[in-house]
Amino acid sequence: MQGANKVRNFTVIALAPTNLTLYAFNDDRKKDRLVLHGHERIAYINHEINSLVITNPTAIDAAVQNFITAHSLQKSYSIISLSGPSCPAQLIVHPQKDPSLDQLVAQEDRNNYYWNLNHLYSDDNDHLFHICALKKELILHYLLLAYRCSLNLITITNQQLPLFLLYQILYANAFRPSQLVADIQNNQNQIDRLFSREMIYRFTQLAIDKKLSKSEEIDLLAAIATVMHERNQ
Amino acid sequence: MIKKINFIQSLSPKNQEWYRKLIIILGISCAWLLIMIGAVHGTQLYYWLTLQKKSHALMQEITALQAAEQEYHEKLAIEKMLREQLAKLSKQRYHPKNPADLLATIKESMSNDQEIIAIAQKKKKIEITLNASSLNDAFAFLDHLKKTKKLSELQLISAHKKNETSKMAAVFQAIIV
Repeated sequence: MQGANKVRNFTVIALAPTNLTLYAFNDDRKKDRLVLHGHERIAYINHEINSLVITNPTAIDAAVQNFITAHSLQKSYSIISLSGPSCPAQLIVHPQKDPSLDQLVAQEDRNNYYWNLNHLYSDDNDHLFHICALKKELILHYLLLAYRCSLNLITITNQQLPLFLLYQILYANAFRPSQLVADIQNNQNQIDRLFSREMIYRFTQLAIDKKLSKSEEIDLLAAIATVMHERNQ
Repeated sequence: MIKKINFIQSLSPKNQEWYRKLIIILGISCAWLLIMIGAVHGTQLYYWLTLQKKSHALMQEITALQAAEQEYHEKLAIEKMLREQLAKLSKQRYHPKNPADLLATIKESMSNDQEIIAIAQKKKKIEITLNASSLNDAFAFLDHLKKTKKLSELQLISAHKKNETSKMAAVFQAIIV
C-alpha cells in the first residue's frame, strides 16, 4: 500500500500539440526527492490527437495502458498536463487588483473555455495576472480517457503555471513576487528560461537509460513542477 | 501566493490517503468490535444455540407424544364403548328371561336324529314341536328335558306321522320355571 511505505507513484500525461509524453515518478517522502523511472514520448504520426482533442482513443488508450503496465503504475496518482493553443495561457497586466473575467476575456471565449485567473504581483499602478483556459469539451475527453484507462486522475492542469509554483518552491522563504516578475521580464516572459538544466537533477533522480533532448528536458521540468506541486498539497 | 490550477474537482493524494487510512481503521475497529462481541457473548450464544437445538428436539418429541396421547384417548373411547356394549350383552345374556339357556338345555336334551320344527312361547307357557324317529325317541327327549328341571308340567300333547316313511312330529307343552 502506498501510505504504508510512504512512497507515492505519479503518472504525468503531458499533451502537447505534436506529441504525447508519459512520465512515471516515484516520490519517496523520506528522501524528499523524486525519481523518474519511466519516460516515453509518442509523436502523433496519424493525428491521434488534434488540437488536444483525442481523435484516436484506441491508440492513445493503448499507449497509456502499456506505459502503466510496463512501469506498474496501476495505483499511481495521475496528472494530465496540457499545453498548446487549445489550452492558452498568458500574462496580463491590469489596473484593477480584482478584475472580473468580463474585463479580461471576450464574451465568446468566456463561453467556450474554463478560465483560471492567478494574481502574481502588484506594483503601484498595475497588477500582473497569469490567466489560462481550457476548452470545455476537452475536460470530458480527458475524464473519459481516465475512465477507460482506470487512472486515479487528480489534476488536469496547464503546463506553464506549475513552473511558477516550482520557482516558488525553489526560493522557498526567500520567494518574492517582485523578483519573479523581474526575472520573467528579463527572460522575455518565457517562464521556462528561469530554470537551468541542473534544476532537473536538483529535484529529480533520473533512473532511465536514455538521454533526453533539450526540448524533452524543458517538458520534464514542467512535469517535475506539476508533481512537486501535487506532493506538497 | 500562487494558486494551483486544476480544471477538475478531485481529492488530493493526502486526502485520498487519509480516507484510505480511515476506511482501514474503521474496518479494523468493526472487526475488533465483532470479535469482542463474539468473545463476550460467545458462551451465551453457544448455550443459546445448544438450548435451541434441544428445544427443537423436545418439540419433535412432544409432537410425537401428543399424537400418541390422541391415539390413546381415541382407543380409550372405543374401549369404553365396547365395554358398555359388552355389559349390555352380558346383562341380556344372564337375564332370567333370556331364552338362550332354555334353548341350550333343549338342544342338549335332543339326540342326533331329532330336530326341532318349532318352539312357541306365550308368557310362561312353551310349546315345542319335535321331529323324532319313534315314539320312544320322543319320550327319551321328554325324560332328558324333565331332568334339567328348567321346565315344569312337561307333557306330550300329540304325536303323529304323515305316513309310514316320514318322521313322527311330537308336540310338547310345558311351563317355564
